Amino acid sequence: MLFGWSRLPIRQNANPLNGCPFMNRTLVVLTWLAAVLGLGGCVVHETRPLPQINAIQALEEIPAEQLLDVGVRLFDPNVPEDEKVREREHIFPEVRKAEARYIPMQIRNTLEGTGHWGQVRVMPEDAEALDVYVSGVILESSGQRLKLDITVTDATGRTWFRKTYEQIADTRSYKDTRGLTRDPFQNLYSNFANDMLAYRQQLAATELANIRRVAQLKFAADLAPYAFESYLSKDKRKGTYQVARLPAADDPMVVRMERIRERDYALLDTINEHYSLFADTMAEPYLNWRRYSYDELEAKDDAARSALTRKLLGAAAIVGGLMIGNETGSYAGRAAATGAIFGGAYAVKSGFDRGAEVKLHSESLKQLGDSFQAEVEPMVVEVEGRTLQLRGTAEEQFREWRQLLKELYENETGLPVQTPVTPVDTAQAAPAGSG
Amino acid sequence: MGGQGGTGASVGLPGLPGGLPTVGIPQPSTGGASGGGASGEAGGSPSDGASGGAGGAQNESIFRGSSGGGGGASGGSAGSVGDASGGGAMGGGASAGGAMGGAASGGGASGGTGAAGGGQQGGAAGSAGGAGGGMGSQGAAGPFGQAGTQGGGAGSAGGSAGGQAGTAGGAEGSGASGSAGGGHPGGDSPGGAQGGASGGGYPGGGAGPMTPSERIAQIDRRFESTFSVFDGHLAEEQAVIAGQRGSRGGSGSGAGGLGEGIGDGSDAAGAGGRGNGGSAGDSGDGAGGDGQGGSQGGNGNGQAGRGGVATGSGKQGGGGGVGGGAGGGSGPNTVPADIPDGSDDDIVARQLREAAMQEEDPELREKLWEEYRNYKKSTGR
Repeated sequence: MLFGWSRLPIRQNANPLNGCPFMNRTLVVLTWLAAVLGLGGCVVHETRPLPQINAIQALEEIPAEQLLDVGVRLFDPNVPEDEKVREREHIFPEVRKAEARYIPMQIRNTLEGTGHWGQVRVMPEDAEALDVYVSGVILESSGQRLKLDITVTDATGRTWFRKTYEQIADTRSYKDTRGLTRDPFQNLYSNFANDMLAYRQQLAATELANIRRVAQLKFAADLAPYAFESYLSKDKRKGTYQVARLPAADDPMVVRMERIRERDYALLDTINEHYSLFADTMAEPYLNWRRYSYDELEAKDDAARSALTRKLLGAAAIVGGLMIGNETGSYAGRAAATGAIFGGAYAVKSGFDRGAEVKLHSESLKQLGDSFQAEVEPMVVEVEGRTLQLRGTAEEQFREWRQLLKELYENETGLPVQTPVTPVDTAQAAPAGSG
Repeated sequence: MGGQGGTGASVGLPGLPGGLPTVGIPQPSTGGASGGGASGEAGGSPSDGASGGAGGAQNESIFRGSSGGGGGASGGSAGSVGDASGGGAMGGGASAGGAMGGAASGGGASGGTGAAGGGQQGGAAGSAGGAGGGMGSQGAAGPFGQAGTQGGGAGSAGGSAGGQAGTAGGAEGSGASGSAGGGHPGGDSPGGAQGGASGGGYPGGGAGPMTPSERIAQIDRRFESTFSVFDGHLAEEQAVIAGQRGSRGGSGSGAGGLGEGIGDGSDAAGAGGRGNGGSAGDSGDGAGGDGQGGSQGGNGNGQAGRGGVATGSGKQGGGGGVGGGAGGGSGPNTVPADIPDGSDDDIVARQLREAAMQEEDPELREKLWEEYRNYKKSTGR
C-alpha cells in the first residue's frame, strides 16, 4: 500500500530515533505530509444526486397590471480569446454560443412556469421595451458545473440584483436515459427564479405599475421622442426613469403606439419561438454531451488528483529516505531508507502514469467537444440567420413607422418636428424585436 | 348626386380579374353619405362626365386639381367598364368611376382608378381589402384588367384603406382607395399607367393640397397597410417555425399571431382575437389558431399552420384577424375533445393543463385532465 510505508519506518526505527530530535521531527513532518496528501488524494466528492429545488409557484392569480413582462437576453458566451486557455478549460466557442441561447431559454421556461410573471421571452442582447430584463454571462459551463453571473434590471433602469450562481450537476439527470429529464442545473435556475420573485415581492403594487408605464413610455419615446419624451423624467443621480405625466388614454398617438407595440411583442414572440425551437433541437445532443463530458471530467479530475498525490508522496518518500539513510547508523534504518526511496520512486512513476491518463481524458473531452461543436454549429448559424433576417425586416418596418408617426404628429399638431428622425440603427429602429 | 356612400362591402378574391365588380356583395353601407364626388352620378352614362368632374373637385378628393378633374370627368363616364374614351386625358380614372370603382379592391389596388371610385366604392373596397390583407392575396387588378403585379399586400392595403375612408365620407373614401392602393407597388403601376392623372398614386396622386385631416387619414391608412404587411411577415415566419416543429415531431406551442383585422367599413379595424397557438397534434402538423373576426362581421377562418385569416363579409366588412399563431408541433399527447381551448384559464387551470399536456404516461395524463375538468367545473368557467 502506498501510504503504509510511512508508518513502518517509524515503528521499526523507534529505538534508533530516540534521542535524535532532528530525525524525529523529520519523520513527523513526513508522516504528516503523507497523511495530508493521502487524504487529499482520497477526497470523496459530494454526493451528486442533489436535493431538488423548485421555483416557487404562484398560488393565486396575480392582477394583470402587476404582471411584469420579462425579457431574458441572450447571455454573453464569454469565450476567452486565448486558444490555450480555451483548450485548458475545455471551452468550445460554438458550444458556448449555443449555451448562450440555451441557458436563457431554461431560465425563461422556469420563470414562465411559476405564474408570477407576464410574458417571458428570450430576446436578443440589445432588445428593449419590456418591463424586466435578465442578462447574464457564462462564467463556467461544463457537464460538471455551471456558473453564471446574472443581472436583473427593470425598465426604469433600476438594477434589481446582480449575483453569481454556481451549481454542480445533479447526476440524476445523467443517469436517467429515458429521454429528456430535468436539467442537471435546474436548481440554479430555480434559485434564480426564487431570487427574482423575492425581489419583486418587495416592490409595492404602485412600483410594479410604474415599471410597466415606464416601459410603455420608453417604447413610445424611442419611436416618437418629440411626442413622448416629456412624459418621462430621468433621475440624473440614480439614472432611473420615472413617469412625469401620463398621456390621455385616447390620444391617437398613444393608440397607434400601442398597436405598434403589439407588433413588437409579436416580433419578439416569433424570435422567441426561434430560440425555443433551437433549444428543443439542441436539448438532447446537449444533454448527451454533458453526460459524457461529465464522466470524462470526473475521471480526469480523479486522475489528476491521484497523479499529483502520488508524485508528491513519492517525492516526499525519496527525500525522507535519503535523509534517514544519511542520519541513521542502523541496518534497519538504512533498509527503511532504501525502501522509502524505492517506494517513493515507484509512487512518482505511478503519478506520471496517472498524468498520462489525465491527458487521455483531456483528449477525449476535446474530441467530445469537437464533435458536439460540429453538431451544434449549424444550429446556431441557422437560428441566428433566421432571427437576423426577421430583425432586418422589422428594422425596415420600424423605420417606416417612425416616419409615419412623425408625419402624423406634424399634421395633428401643426408643429414641425424639430428633431430629425433618429438615424436608423439597430437598437432604435426596432425597439424590442430588433433591439 | 354623388355616390350613395359606400355601397357594398365586397370581398376581394385573389386572382379575379381586376376591376371586375363581380366579387362585390352589395350591401347597405354606412359609408360616407356624400359618396365620391368623383364618381358623381357614377355609373351613369358618359354624358355625365362633366358633372362627374365637378363632383371630383367638390368632394375634396385627394386627387383634386387637374388630375382630380380628369378623374372626375372620366368618372362620370365610368359607368361603362373600361370606357377609356369617357375619361379625360387619361381615361383611366374614368374607368374606375361609378360601378367600376365599386368593383372593388381592384380600384384601390390599381391606384388611380380608386380616385374616381367614389365613396360608394370606398366602402366596397374596404371590406375587400380587409379580406385581401389577411390573405396576402394577389392584388386586384385595375379597371382595365391589369392585375396588380405585386399581389396581395398592395391590393389589400388599398382596399382596406378605401373601406375605412368610406365611412368618413364618400369623397375621402374614393380618394383613399385610390391613394393607398396606388401607392403600393403593384397596385400603383397599373393604375398609374391606366388611370393617368388620377392614378398618379399616393400621396396625392394629383395636384392640390389636402387638408390636415385628409392627410392624417391617409397616413393612418398607410399605417394600416404596413400593419397588414408586417403581420403577414410574422405569420409566414411562424408558419415556418411550426413546420419545423412539426417535422421534428416535438412538442411546443405556437406564438399567437396578431388578430387585428382591417378594412372595416365603418368601425375601423375590427379587433381580432389573438390566435391560439395550435395545440398538439399527433400528426406533427401545427394547427393554426382561429383568427377572430372583427366585432362587426368577419369570420376568422384558421388556416392550418398559418395564422388564421379572416375573410370579412357582411355589413361592416370584415375585421379579419391575422389570427392564429404558428401552430404547435405535435406533442406526446392530444387534448381530449371535451377540453375547452383554455383561453379563460386561470393560473391553476393553466398549470393543470400544461402538466397534462406534457405528461407522457397516459394514465397520469388522464388523471390530470380529470383534475382540470373538475377544477374548471368548480370555478364555473
